[in-house]
Amino acid sequence: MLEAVNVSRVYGTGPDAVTALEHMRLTVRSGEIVCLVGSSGCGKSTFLSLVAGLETPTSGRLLLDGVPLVEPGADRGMVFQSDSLFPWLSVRDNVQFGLSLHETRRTHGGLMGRLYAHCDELLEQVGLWPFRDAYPAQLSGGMRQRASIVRALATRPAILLMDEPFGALDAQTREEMQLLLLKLCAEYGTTVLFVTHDVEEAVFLGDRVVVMRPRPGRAVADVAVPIARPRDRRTRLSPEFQAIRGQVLDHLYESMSTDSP
Amino acid sequence: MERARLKRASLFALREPIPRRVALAVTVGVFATLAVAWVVLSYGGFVRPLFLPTPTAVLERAVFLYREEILVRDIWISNVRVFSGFLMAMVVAIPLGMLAGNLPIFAAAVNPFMGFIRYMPVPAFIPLLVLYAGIDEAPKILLIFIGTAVQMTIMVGDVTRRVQPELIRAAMVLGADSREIFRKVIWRGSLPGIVDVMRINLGFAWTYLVVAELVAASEGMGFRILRSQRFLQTDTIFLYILLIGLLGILFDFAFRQLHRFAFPWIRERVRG
Ligand SMILES: Nc1ncnc2c1ncn2[C@@H]1O[C@H](COP(=O)(O)OP(=O)(O)OP(=O)(O)O)[C@@H](O)[C@H]1O
Ligand SMILES: [Mg+2]
Repeated sequence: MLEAVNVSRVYGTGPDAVTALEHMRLTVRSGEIVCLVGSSGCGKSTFLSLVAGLETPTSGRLLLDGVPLVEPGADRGMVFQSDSLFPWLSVRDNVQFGLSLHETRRTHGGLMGRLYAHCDELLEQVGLWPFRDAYPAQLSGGMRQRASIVRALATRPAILLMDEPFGALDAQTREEMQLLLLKLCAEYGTTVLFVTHDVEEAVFLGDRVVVMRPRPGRAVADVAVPIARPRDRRTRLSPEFQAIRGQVLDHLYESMSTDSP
Repeated sequence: MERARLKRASLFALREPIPRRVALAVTVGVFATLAVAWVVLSYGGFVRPLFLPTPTAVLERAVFLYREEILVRDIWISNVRVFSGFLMAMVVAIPLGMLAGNLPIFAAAVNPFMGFIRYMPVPAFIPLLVLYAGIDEAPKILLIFIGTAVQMTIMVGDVTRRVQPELIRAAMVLGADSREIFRKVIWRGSLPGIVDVMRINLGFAWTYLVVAELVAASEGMGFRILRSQRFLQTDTIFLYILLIGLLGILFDFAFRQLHRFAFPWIRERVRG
């Protein structure tokens, strides 16, 4: 379980200081998929960076299963919007990058072996096994993002952080990737914190959709999505889906009009 | 017809690749034009041999110097000097550049200092080098070292700084510590750029050769050029300048091949 309590993050000091996040509160239970939506600049990426341990909060507490988060760790995997595969490594080496680091520090024997096998299994599952020796530049955008997801899952993290991972993909690939993500989550019970601009995507993927407000960034609404799983293409057409989508959009527009002074 | 027109126009299209054969023809054309100009001007008697020796004279010089066992010796010793200085510069510049490019504390230490020496004329160091290092090989090698190390450090710093921040963040999230990020991300990611920097700087190193061999040399390509000037042996000067040019083409080719074979992941990008 991920808990954020009154998390604030200020960039810079003095008159130029930017409060990217203020008193952000959020709880993500184990196995849950929570989507963060909000207008540009409301601190979504900042929040993910804090959870990932890439930055430290100015104040507040971040706990993962009760343990304070201070630095990056194998318990969190992250997928970025832009291409972040290492271009000089093959798909398989990219996916095993995290494992290879731990190997040089301490050999875990059987556990390491199982994790490597897990990598190959994941590659197989997302259809990248035939491309395991290809370099990222040889893959399509969708394949590259699939490889990024596999890389993030390779160390069996407790939570998967995704920052607009499908934002740069075309509509069709995007839909494919959403279904794939849901399939993987269902299989491995992965907890996911997913940032997106796309309300439809958020409602389709999430168990909950959290709406954020800018200046200063914080969560203002938390909409539950009680739509049964597995979800498929037709889910989007259901009146229930549309109703929730409408609800989230209402919160979003409301958050934008009530800009704080 | 439309197609043919497009094809002709595309030879001058910005950043559009042109057929290999065309590129080769243009390259060969440039050299051929120069060669023809040389032949016509020298054999035609348009320019006095003192200013422009004939190709025959240059070749005869080459044969003569080869027979006297001077030519190979000169080429060898100059290569030793250039590569010694160049390798020393590499050993210093690559780690220093990487540190200065990625750790602000090293940037603060290194960059202003490099800026300070960067504009100093390298030949100005000759008297000091002779004073400190004598008149053997040391001052010549040191001069080439000074000439290349500074630019190289700055350029390596730039290249390593250009590794995408996303890759560094990705590695951090995957649990890499600073040392692993240096080794597995910054080093690996900037290696092609570093090889390019080396290719460019090897050229700089050669341009310092004549200056370096001003220092009490008795052999070497730069020395031979300087001495030939005193004896008005223009043919020798031409021979050595052309030889240095040829060596340049050779080394450039070697670096480009290294790039092609060592970094297949870049080449694929073009296709994909
Ligand atoms: N390193 C930084 N230095 C200074 N300001 C920053 C920094 N990172 C983010 N900010 C500021 O913090 C605020 C929140 O940024 P953040 O990137 O978290 O927003 P976001 O919700 O992810 O936006 P988007 O939807 O456009 O990605 C913005 O006003 C941004 O300018
Ligand atoms: Mg963002």
